[in-house]
This record gives sequence, C-alpha cells and structure tokens, in this order.
Amino acid sequence: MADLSALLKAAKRFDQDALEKIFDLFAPVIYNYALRLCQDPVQADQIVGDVFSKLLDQLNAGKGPRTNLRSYLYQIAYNLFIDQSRYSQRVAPIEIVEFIATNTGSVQTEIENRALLDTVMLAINNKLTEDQRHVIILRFLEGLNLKETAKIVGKNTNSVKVLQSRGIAKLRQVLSEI
Amino acid sequence: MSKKFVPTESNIQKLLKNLSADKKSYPKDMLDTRRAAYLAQVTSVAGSGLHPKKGNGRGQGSSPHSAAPMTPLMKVVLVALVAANVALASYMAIYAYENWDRVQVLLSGKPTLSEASPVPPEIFNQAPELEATPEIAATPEGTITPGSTPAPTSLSEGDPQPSGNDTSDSPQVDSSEPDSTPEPNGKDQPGKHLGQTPHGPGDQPGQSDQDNVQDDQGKDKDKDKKEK
Repeated sequence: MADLSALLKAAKRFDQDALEKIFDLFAPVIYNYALRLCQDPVQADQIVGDVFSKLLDQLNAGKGPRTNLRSYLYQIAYNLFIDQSRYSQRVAPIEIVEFIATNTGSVQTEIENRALLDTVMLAINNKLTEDQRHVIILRFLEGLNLKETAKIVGKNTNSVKVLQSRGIAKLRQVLSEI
Repeated sequence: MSKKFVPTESNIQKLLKNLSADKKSYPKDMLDTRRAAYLAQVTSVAGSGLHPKKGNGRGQGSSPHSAAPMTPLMKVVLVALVAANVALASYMAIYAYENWDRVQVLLSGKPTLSEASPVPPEIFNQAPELEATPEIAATPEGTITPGSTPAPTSLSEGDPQPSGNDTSDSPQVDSSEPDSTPEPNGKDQPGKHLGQTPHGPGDQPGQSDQDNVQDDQGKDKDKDKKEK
C-alpha cells in the first residue's frame, strides 16, 4: 500500500518509470475485469488503452486519484464500459462465450468444477441485472471491498449490499435448477 | 462434485472466489502494442512540459498555470512600480482638475476663444509684406523733388526717395515706380489694400501728397543732424 502511494506520487510528478510500473501492474488486471464485463478481448484491450490514456490526461490536468489508484482505474474502466454498452445494446456472441469457456482452463480445477464455473459465469452474464452483475464481479471476482465497489458503481454501501445479496440469491436459484 | 453441490450462499461465495482465480492472460501481442502506445503518450506529455509540477500543499502548485514564487527583489520592484503608477495617476488627476477647461476642449475637439486668432486672416497675411519691403530698409537720405520723384510707398514710413543730385555717397536707387503689393488676382486697385500709395486726396482725408513730402524731408534733416 505504501508502495502504491509512493508510486502514485511519482506518477503525479510525471515520473516515467512510475507510470511504466503502473501500467505493468494494473494493465492485466484491468484487462481481466474488462473482459469479464464485455466478454470481448478486442474491446477489453481498447478499454485498457482508454483507461490509461484517461489516467494520463487526469494527471496532466493536475487531477487523478488521491489515494486508491486501483479503485480509480476500475472506476474508469467501469464508466467506459457503461458508456460503450449504452451505445451498443448488444448480447455477447456465442463465439465469445465459447472463447471464455474454452480459455478458462486451470490445472487445479477439475472437469466438474470447470463445468460448474462455466455455468456460474453464464448465469452472471445472462441472468443477473447490470448492477447485480457489476457488484458480483467487483466484489467476488475482482476482490474489491464494499466501499471500493460502492465508489466504482456510484452507489452507497447499503445499495451494494442489497445488490450483492439479490445477485447471490439469483445465482442460487439458477444453480438449484441444474 | 456438481451432483454434491448444494447451492447455499456460502457455497456460492466460495465458488465465485474460485472463479476469481481463473484469470485470462493478456495476449502478448496486444499487451506489447498497448504498452508501446502508452509509453509514447507518456513521452509526448512529459516532453511537452505541460504536466503539472508538485505543489506546496496549499493547492497552488497543482494547476499547470501556477506562478513561480517571488523573490524579495521582485517584491521591492513591484512595490516601486505600483507607487510610481499611483503618483503618476495622482499628478494627472490634479492637472486635469486645475485645467478642466482645456481637458474639456481636448475631449470635445473644439477650439476655445483664447485659442482663436484675434487678427482677421486677410490682414494677418498682408502685414509681413509691408515689413519685408526692401525700399524701406535701404532708403538712403536725400532730397525729394515732388514733381520728379515717384510717390512714397507708405505714409507711415517717412523715408524719402533719393534725388538724382545726391548720388555720390548713397547707394543707387532705382528711379522706377516703387513696387506696391499687387493684387493677388492681378487687378491693381490703388488704395484698396495696404502697402499701396494713395493717389488722390480722397484716399487720405486731411493730408495731401505735398504735406507728406514736406514731413518726410523734415524728418530726414533731423536725422542728419543727429548723425553729425
């Protein structure tokens, strides 16, 4: 945490090494988050580029994050995805869902677990509302706390708690039907 | 495991956490391209010098338009400049108060009565010609024969024309008609403008040509006596 604060201070002075470290540290994380949101690798890559470009603009204008750089980058990615999804009301193509299903392989997971995880992922993307999906992804898949999640989605913590409980209830209902 | 899975809330949360460990790797070609573009943007912004400097904790240095701190010498110079400006403004205000009529004229652009010329333009233009007449300055002493000499140029001058007998110690004088100021349009009307000899008794009431000649001769004699 102290390293991140020092990194952020150096980035505000436009130290190139600090800015490079920030990209190396957070670009894969933001890519994963964007891919979970949009389920499109190309679009996720574009979101990553937009996120860091906006970070540079904010730092150049004397703005930018004060303390939590990670949460700030997630928030930019979330807002970018929301803006893009408003323009293109689309459903994830089948090929992309298959891409996710075939590329989620891990050595440690078993085949049955793999199928269950795929089912949960499909349920998150198709059965939950937008707010529930964002909260579930941020809270459980990205590992952010309640406060960070509330800040990213622009709601208070109580609303995030409600969205989280309703999302889990919905997933429970879906998985019980299997 | 899926058959044994009971969808309780805690189990679903554990399942989601297992799902969080399942991360997709950023494709290397995409990552390299994106990183190169980002570093190029960093270099361009840092090289342009537009990035903000570190502030002093009071919010003054966070803006890219923040000014450099002033040195004591700069403060002294600034105070002196301000004082000079105040003094100049005060002087101008006092001057304008004391000469308000002139200021009004300057503002309105119209001349006042004091600035207008008291002499009519035609008289003012002809007066220098009287003074510049060469016969007046170079008039030698001598006697004037009323019948043979031309009429004097002006009654006020009183310088007689030299006679033909007294040419030894006096410069040569042209015996022709003395020049008078011609009329600008070429029509010479005697007595109608300054610098021209009147020709009739009616032009100079109360004084004839003979009287004028005698007065001039008397004055010349007095002048000769004084010189001797």
